Amino acid sequence: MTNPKGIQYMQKYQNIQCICSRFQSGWRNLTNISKASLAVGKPRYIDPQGNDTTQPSNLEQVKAFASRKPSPVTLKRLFEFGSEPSPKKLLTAAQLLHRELPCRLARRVIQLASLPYGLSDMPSVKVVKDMYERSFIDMIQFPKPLDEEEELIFTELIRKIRQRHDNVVKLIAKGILELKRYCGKGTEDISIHDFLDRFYMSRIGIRFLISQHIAMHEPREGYVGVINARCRPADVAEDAANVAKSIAYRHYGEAPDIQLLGNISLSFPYIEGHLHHMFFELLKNSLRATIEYHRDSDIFPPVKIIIADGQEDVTVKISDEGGGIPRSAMNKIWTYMFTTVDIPPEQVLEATEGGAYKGPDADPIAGLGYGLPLSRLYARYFGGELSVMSMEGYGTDAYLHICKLGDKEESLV
Amino acid sequence: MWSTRSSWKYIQWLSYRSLSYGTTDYLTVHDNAVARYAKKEPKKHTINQLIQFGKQLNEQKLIQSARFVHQELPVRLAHRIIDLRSLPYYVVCGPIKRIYDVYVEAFESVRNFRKIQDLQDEKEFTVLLKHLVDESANVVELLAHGLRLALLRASQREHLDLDSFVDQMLISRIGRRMIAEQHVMLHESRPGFVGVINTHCSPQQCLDIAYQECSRICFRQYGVQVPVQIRGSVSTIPYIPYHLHYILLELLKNSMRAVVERHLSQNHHKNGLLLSKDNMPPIEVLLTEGPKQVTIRISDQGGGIALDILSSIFRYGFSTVNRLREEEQGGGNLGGEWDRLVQRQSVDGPMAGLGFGLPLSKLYAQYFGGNLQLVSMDGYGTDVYVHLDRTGDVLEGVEI
Repeated sequence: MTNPKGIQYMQKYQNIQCICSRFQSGWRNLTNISKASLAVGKPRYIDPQGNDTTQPSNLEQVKAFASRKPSPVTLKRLFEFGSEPSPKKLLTAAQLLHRELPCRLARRVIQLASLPYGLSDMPSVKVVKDMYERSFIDMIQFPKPLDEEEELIFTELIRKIRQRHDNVVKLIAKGILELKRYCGKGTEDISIHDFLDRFYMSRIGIRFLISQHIAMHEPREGYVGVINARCRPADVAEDAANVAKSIAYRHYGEAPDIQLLGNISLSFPYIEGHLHHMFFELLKNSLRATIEYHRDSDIFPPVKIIIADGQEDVTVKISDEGGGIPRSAMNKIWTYMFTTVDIPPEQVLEATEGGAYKGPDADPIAGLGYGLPLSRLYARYFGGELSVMSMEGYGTDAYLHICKLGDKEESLV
Repeated sequence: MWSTRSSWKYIQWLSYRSLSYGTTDYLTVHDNAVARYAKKEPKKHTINQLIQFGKQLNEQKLIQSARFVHQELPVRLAHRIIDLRSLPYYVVCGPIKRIYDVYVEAFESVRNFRKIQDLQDEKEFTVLLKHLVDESANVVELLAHGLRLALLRASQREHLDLDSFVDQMLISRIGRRMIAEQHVMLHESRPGFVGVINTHCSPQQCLDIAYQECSRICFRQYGVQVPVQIRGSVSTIPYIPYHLHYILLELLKNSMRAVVERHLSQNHHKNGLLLSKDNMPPIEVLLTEGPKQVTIRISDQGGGIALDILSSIFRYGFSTVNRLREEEQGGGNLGGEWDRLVQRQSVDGPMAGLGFGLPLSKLYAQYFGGNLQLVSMDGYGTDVYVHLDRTGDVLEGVEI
C-alpha cells in the first residue's frame, strides 16, 4: 500500500526543490525546469542516438521520474504471474520493471540529496547517491526491451545494478558514523531513523523485484523466482537455527537447544530469503542472550519456536529465557545502533559477522547491529509485523506476523 | 439539519442543565463553581506518598486527609462535568444523563460540606464519602449502555468516536474512587494495609484468588475446569489489590472461555464428548520481575483472536453493539450465557458483556505506572503481558 505520509513528504519536497532551484540560477534554468515539470506526465529520456533537442539535465530527469507514483505489487500477483514462465511473460515483466525501477531509483536519489543535518554531504552518502544516480541513468538510457534478446541484456543490466549496490547498507552506516563525528547527531535522532527506515524499505523492494526477475530466468523446482511456492516456516526456521547455533558454538563453545512447536507442516508461498533473514536474526539474539544469562549453569533452557496458522496470517513466536531486555533499553531495540560504534568509519566496510544467508538472492549485510530494525522492515514489506515483548529477569518473546494469503501490497515510501 | 423533534430534545437538554436544582439563579452559581474548580489541576500522588501519609495516623492526619479529599474531589468531578457538557446532545440523553446528574450531585454535596475542623466533621464527611461511593457504583454500566445507545443513534455520516471520552471518564473514576476509598479505609486497621493499599501485595495470591473465582464460574458453565500452570515467583509490591484482581480476573476469564470454546468447536462432531481437564491445553501463567517492574504473562491456547476483531478489542463497546442487536433478536450465544454468569457485585459493572473489561483492565494497569499488552497468534492462542510498577514512585494517572 502506498504510504500517504511518504507521498506527502515527497510532494512537499519536490515543491521546495522547485522553489529552491528557481532561485538558484537565472531565467534559463527556470525555463528548463518549467519544461521538465510540464513533462511530468510523459517523461522524456535521452535517445541512445542522442537525438533530443533540449537535452534536459540529470537532475531534471531524476525529478521527472521521481514525481511519478511507484506502483506497488502484491506477492500473490507476482506469484501467479510467474507461475508458468515463458519468454513472452519474461518480456512483459522486463517491460514493467523497465518502467518501475527508474521511478524508485530516482526517489532514492532525491531522498539522499536532501537528508537532514548535512548527512547528504558526508562522503559515504555521496558515494551511495552517485551510485543510485548512475543506476538510474543506466536504466533510462536503456531502451524499452522489445524482444527476447533485448530482454536478456536488460536482465544482465539489472543484475549488474544489483551487484553495484551490494554494499549500500555498510556505506550508509559509514556515512552515519561520519555524521556523528562531524556534528554528533546519530541514529537516535528521529529524522535520521525515519530516513533509514524508508530508505532500507525501498531498497528491500528494489532488490526483491530485481532478484525475482533474474531468478525467473533460472527456474528452480517448487519456486517462482525467489518465492518458494511451498515455503515451510518450520524448515526455514530449522535452517536458520542450524546456522545460528554453529555461530554460537564458534563463539562460545556451546549452544542451547532450539525446539520447534505448533504447526510444523504449515506451508504457503513466501520469499524464503526474507524469512530466513528474520529467523536468523531473532534466533541469534535469543541464543546469545540465553548463553550469556545462564553462563554459570550447566544446562541452557531451550529456545522455543511456535508456529501458529491463522486464517489470514501466520504467527511465529520465538521465545527465550535469556533474561529479557531491561525496561530502559526497550525503546532502543528498534534503533539502528551499531555494535561497531567504536570502530572508525574506515573499518566499517570490513566488519562482518558472517553466517548470513548465502542463497541466490543473498544480501551480504549481516552484522552492524541492524538485525532487529531490518527484520522488522522485512516483515512489514508485505504487510506483516514484528513485535518484541520482554519479561525482565526471565526472557524475551518475539512475534513475527506474516500475511500468508499474499494479498497485501508492498510497503512503499 | 435538525428535525423539529431533535431541536426540541436539544432545548430539553439545555434546560435540564439549568433546572438541576429547581432554582433559577442557581444556574449562575452552579456554573461558576464548576468553572472555578475545573480551572484547577488535580493533585496527584504516588503509592508511596499515600503509604507514607497514612502510616502513622493521628487525629491531625485524619482531618488533613479529609480536607484533601474535600478539596480534590470537586476538582476532578468538575473536569468530568465539563466533558459531559461538551458531548453531542443525543449522546447525553438517557443513561449518560443519569451519570451527569450523579456527578453534579456529588460535586455539590462535597463542595457544600462545611469546612472540616474537627473529628466530628471528619466522621460525617466520611459517611458522605461512603454514600457517594455507593451511589456511583453502577456508573460503568450506565456508561456502557449510554455508549451503546449513542452509537446506535449516531447518524451514518457522523463518525462518532467516544473512546477518548470514555477513557478520560474511567481514568478519572479510578482516581476519584481511589482517593475516596483510601480515606474511608484509613479508619480501618488491617495488618499490612494503609487504606486500600496493601504494602505487601502478593501478585501470586491475587492470582490464586482470581483463578479460583474463574474456575468456579467455568465449572458451573461448562462442567470442567481449565488447568492453569503457574510458574515463577515474585516478591511483594505495594499495590491496590482490587485493581490487580480486576485485571487478572478479566484476563483469566477471557482465556478460559477461549480455551473451552475452542475445544468444543474442535470436537463438536463427537457427540457426548466428555469434557475433561486432561485433554485441554493449560493456561500458562508466568511471574517475573525486574528491578522496576513485575510482569505477569498469561498465555492460553484458545485459538487466538481473529485479525478483523483484533483492532477493536481495546475499543469501548464496539463488539457489544452487535451483540445487543443479537440479544434483542433473541439470538443467544454461549458467550452471552458465560457473561451473565460472570456477573458479580462489582463496582465496575457486570464483568462482561459490556465490551469494557479489556480496555478498563488496561487502564487499571496503567494507572500506577504499569501497562497491559496483548499479542494474538491466530490459530494458536493469545499472550497477555501485565506490567506492574514495583517502585511505588509513579504518579497516578494515565496520559491519553
